[in-house]
Amino acid sequence: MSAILGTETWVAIVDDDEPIRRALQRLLRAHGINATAFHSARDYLTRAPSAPACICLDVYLHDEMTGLDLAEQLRARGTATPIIFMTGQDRSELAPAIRDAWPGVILRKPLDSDLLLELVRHHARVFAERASA
Amino acid sequence: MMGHESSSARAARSAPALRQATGWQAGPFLISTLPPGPRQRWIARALVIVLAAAFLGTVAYRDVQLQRYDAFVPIANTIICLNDVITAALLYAQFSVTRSRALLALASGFLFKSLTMIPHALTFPGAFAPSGLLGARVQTTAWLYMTQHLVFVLSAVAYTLLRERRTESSDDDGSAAISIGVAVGGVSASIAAVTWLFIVGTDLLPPIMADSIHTTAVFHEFGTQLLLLEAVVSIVVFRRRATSMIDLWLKVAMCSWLIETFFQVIIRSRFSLVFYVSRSMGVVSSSFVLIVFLSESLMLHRRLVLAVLGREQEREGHRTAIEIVVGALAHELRQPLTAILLNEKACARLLSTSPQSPEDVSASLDDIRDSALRAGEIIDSVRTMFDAPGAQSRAAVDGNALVREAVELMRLDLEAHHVSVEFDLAPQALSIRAHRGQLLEVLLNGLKNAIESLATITGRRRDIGVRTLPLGANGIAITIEDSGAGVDIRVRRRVFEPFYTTKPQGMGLGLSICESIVSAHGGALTLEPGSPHGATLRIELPGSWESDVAMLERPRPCVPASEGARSEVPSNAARPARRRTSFVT
Repeated sequence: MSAILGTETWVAIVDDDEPIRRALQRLLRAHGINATAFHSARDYLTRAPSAPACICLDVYLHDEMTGLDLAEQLRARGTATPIIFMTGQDRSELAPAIRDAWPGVILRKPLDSDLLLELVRHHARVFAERASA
Repeated sequence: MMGHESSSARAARSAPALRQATGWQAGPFLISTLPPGPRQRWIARALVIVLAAAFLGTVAYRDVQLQRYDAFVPIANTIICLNDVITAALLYAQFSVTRSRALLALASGFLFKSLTMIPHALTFPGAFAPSGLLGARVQTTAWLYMTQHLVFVLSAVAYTLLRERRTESSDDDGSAAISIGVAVGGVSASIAAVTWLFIVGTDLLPPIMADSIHTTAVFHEFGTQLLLLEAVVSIVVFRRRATSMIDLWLKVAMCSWLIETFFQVIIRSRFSLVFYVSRSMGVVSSSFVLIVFLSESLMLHRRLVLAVLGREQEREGHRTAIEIVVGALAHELRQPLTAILLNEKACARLLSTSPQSPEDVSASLDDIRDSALRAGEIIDSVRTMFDAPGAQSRAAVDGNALVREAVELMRLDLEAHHVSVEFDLAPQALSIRAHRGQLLEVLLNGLKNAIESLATITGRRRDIGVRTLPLGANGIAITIEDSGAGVDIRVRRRVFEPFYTTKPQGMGLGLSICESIVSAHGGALTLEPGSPHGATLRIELPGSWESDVAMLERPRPCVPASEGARSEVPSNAARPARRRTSFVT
């Protein structure tokens, strides 16, 4: 794992499914994007050394703290980190609620990897510009 | 939602389509096709006996003249008219479904009988005007009465004869409404024509009334001829065994008609005892026929409604079980598919860049294979869940693992309703011999009910407690405890009855299926109110050893040793052997 400094551009992956975590990390790295994976919200909060360019966050983490909880907590702390939500959910029951609270992007699994890459690149660019400014 | 659509779609389905779809002739769903039961036959016989007794009791007093009540005929006619017009409407409705021409003929006969009562009452001397309304002559009313009898008898013949050829004559072409319209129009027109004829052309016909009270010899002559005709017709009608409610009650109507015609033969004058009795008999028999048709129709309707509801709820139950599985399956399959697609993209990227890293590519391919295998396992697990039921597929099941699996399958529902699950599982492995898929179904149902009762709760935590406990020597108890709306004590006794549901959307079969599954495993399912609120579903499953012994002992009656020594030998021999084998499994 590469050293993560305060201003380094990196992307966080938070998903409880290990194969997905690994595959996503592999894809981002193959495209030259520095990505670190976390298996839970708690794991992210304890291990993330600095603010990432964005978080690819699974909505329903199978844990006491869900992806939504993590997003809420980050917002409560005043963190402006962009979040790309990922969900394997089939039903639309919760989707409107998430959309209202988080007007960002929610990607359905199986993920549209081109769109995901484009979004991640965009966030990385914005992050880098802001860091250099 | 889906159930709603299908029910309204079914309601909109036209009668011919229904007939084609159900292959209908055989279906005992109408009073025209329902075979009469012994009770109905008994009632019919009793009524005929009462009518015959009334007749025989009256014959001796044929000369007794009673007081003249001018209001009697209008009242009796009104009752018979209303009874018969409703009966006719019922029969026309039957025709519109079955398209049996026999029914059309009979309905028209009843309609004729009903509507003739109107000019009959209007022209009856003394009823509305001293010599009757519509410019009636002395003969008019009596001729109408004769015609009415004749036409009704002919319609009974038509019904009986057409009924024999029912299969060929019931054609689907043309609308029922048009046929009924033509029949009603024809009946009304012919009554108008006949009335007019008997008013204007009465002088051309032989006189059957001497004056407004007394009959003539011609009257009795006609009555006798009518009686002979009816006797012939009755043979046609009575020769056949009644195969439907209508057949049976047509026979009753014919009997009553026959008796009334007997009265025609002996009647000397209006307002005699015979006159009053015969008219009253007409009122009684027409009322009876109508009441029986109505009550039987309503009973059939009730039975149909129950059958339709039952089917609806059964399908609803299946649908929700399938919904759970499909939802879970979709979610589960998306995970490996996502990993596969991401790995594929990564591979493509890795292979197109230099320097290439073969280790990354091969790791990626390994992950693709693992994910594909995982998808296969998910599908296999669903297949085992829907495995054919039966004792053969019972196997050792770990209660704790099963509970976890059920909760995992319900994860989406739990999350969608913000319900959290707290496990309190027994530390030791709890293994029972059971049909895995069926027990899973029970747990899924229990969890689903708990979630639904929690869905309306605000202001307190939405919790489900799932607990496993050892039960007896080798059994297991599983409880699903929710803090939801709870179960009313009164309701509690009934929730296991099929079709009983407190939920607005239905699915009453859920718990009753669960109970039958659990009792098939020798266990018990109970629903208790929780404290301070909510409900606890308790599933008790005896261990394999206990359930085997229980099954071995239950069907055997207790036989005294002296008498049943021989029969007890095999059971005694079988028991220890059974015990040993079940220890092994």
